[in-house]
Amino acid sequence: MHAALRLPTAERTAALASAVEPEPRVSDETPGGPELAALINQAQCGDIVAFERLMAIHQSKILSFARAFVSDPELASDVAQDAMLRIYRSIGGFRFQSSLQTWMFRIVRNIVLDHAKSRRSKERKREQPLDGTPEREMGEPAERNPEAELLAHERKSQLWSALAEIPEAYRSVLVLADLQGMSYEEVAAIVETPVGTVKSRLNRGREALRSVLVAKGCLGEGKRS
Amino acid sequence: MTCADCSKLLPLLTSGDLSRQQRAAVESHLSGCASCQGQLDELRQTISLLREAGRSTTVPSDFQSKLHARLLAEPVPKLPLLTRLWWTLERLGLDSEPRLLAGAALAILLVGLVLVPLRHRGEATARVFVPEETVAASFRIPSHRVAVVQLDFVADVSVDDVEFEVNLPGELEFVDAGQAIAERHIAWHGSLAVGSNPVPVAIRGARPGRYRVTAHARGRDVTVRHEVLLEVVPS
Repeated sequence: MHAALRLPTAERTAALASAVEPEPRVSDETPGGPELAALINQAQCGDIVAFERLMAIHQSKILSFARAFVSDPELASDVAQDAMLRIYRSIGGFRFQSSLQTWMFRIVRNIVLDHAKSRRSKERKREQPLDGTPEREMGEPAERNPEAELLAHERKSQLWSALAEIPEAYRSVLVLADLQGMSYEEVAAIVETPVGTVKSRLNRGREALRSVLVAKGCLGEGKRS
Repeated sequence: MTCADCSKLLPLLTSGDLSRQQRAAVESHLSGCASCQGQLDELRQTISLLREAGRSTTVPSDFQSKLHARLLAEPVPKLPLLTRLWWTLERLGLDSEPRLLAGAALAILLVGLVLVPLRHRGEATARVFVPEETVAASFRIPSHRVAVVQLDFVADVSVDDVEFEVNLPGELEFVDAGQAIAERHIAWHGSLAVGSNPVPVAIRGARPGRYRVTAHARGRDVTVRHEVLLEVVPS
């Protein structure tokens, strides 16, 4: 069904312009080229500083991916670090046959999903009520709490809570494509499905998330940005 | 167009995947239907929320120091011998398309050590593969000459957390940077990408005879074993 909806590029672009302004999708990384390759080679030789520089580039994406599957922010931070340690142990086997980000996120996804599965029942008990006190975001000092920040935190808290109700297959794609702005091709390589399936899951995931947010009273006239 | 029809097409409208005719029909319906227009607004808000969350992800202030402490506690990862060999071959210009070096006492053997088809069995989500045990190829090499055998692990799906292992009989030896090493067993941790995963191994034999080189790949629900026959002949 999806194939039948494919359009010539120009037509699709026009359709996009009338719909949602697309975010620029990034698949490359900074630093790039020889500098990145040198950094990877150093990390492969056990250079912790080089490895930390690589992680600094990707840490917010790894953290947000973990956060989408682990409801406790501090636990999500630990899981993100577990994934980074696994990357450190395995980086010697990276042979530049894909982008580092794609290779890393296959590991991150496995670690995060394994963790989420093993703690699923526990997690459900720990999930905080959506309409309760907004949770403190990862790393945010409690004393910084002006009204605007509080509202932003509340919205983000509601989003994480709603995402937790989305099936894993849709959630992975939503987080990688919409939240992190990865290209469809890169998401397809990470979740190991065709690009057409990624787009289909993204559309279904967006609709599923909208329904959950509406049911929780998180969307509406008064809340529109 | 009914509201139900329109509702199904709204996600495709936001991603720009509607045909011109479908888009016109949806927009026509939206102009007279506040309910569907509201649903479209909600969908756009949902996407905005996701993008906003991606832009404002904060990293805990102690995240890097904690990671640093954990990294220091880790043993220095042993760079797989095969990665070092890979780099050596790259420096020699052998990279992924090995070629004979004129005049060098170096024989290049390409072994299509194919670990596929890794056939699925059971549920779609379970990766269960049928182990294969076959002699992939046999080669003759002159004694005391170095043969670079390129083991090509070919997979039809990518698999993370794979333990690789190559074993030599006592009569053969691995060669690293031109020197024979004592180990007859090398193992490393890595992953299999979809398609070809070539790994070169430099091997030398002194005593004529026929020997089996075995290679294993073990992952979660994955076990594959192959053998290569190497015949060392008098030089």
